[in-house]
Amino acid sequence: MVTLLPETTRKLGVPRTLHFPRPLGTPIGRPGDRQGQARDLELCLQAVARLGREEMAEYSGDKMSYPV
Amino acid sequence: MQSPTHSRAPLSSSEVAWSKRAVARVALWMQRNTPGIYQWYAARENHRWHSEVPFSPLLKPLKQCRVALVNSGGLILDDQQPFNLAVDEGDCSYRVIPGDVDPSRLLVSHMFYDTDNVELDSGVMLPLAVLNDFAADGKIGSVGPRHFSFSGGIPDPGELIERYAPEVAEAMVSDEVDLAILTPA
Repeated sequence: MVTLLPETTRKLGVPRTLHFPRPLGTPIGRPGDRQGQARDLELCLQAVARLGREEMAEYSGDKMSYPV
Repeated sequence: MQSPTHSRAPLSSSEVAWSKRAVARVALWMQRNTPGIYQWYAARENHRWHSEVPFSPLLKPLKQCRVALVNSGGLILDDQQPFNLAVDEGDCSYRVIPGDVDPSRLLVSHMFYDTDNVELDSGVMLPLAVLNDFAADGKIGSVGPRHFSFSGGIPDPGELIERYAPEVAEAMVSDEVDLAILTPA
């Protein structure tokens, strides 16, 4: 799951999430930016394959951070 | 697409009282101007719904997976009934979006987030075009035939937990979906 509200997501115990630090309403890329949407969706797929139970990754500043 | 965040009435199956529309405007103002306070408020309001959520490990390589999309941004087709934004407990129902949908048929039935970007391009909420590209490029196995849209802003998700979410899960099992990506508003 993509999350834009990470504190809420942590408190709900969501199994695996990717946090994009951006305003509500735009979980995947920017309007009209198919390349950016493809990058974000690909990051989601990678996160599904890599994250464990209740783990959250974050994509910020063009860098993906996984929990250690 | 119609915008529930602008001055006209939100796209709802029942008329939304002015008081609820005012609450939505306050929420949008907080999201825009005091996002930290909004994050804190949302976490405080929702933490009581914490439960043991099942974890399903990925059993196949991504290249073999059939993928579906689930969103809670209130996207609906132009011939579907809008969500009922008037009820205090929230509308827990869902709408089915076909995998080959014409994006120009998508409308937004929601009023608790800024819908400007999704109105410009529904791909920011439901990136079906990109997902189809991934299938064509072999990054995933295939795209599910059905995708699912919920309303967000549900203060009481009891019916969602008991009825509608299991229905959607069963539909995806029936469609032999291996992996679903959830995008919230």
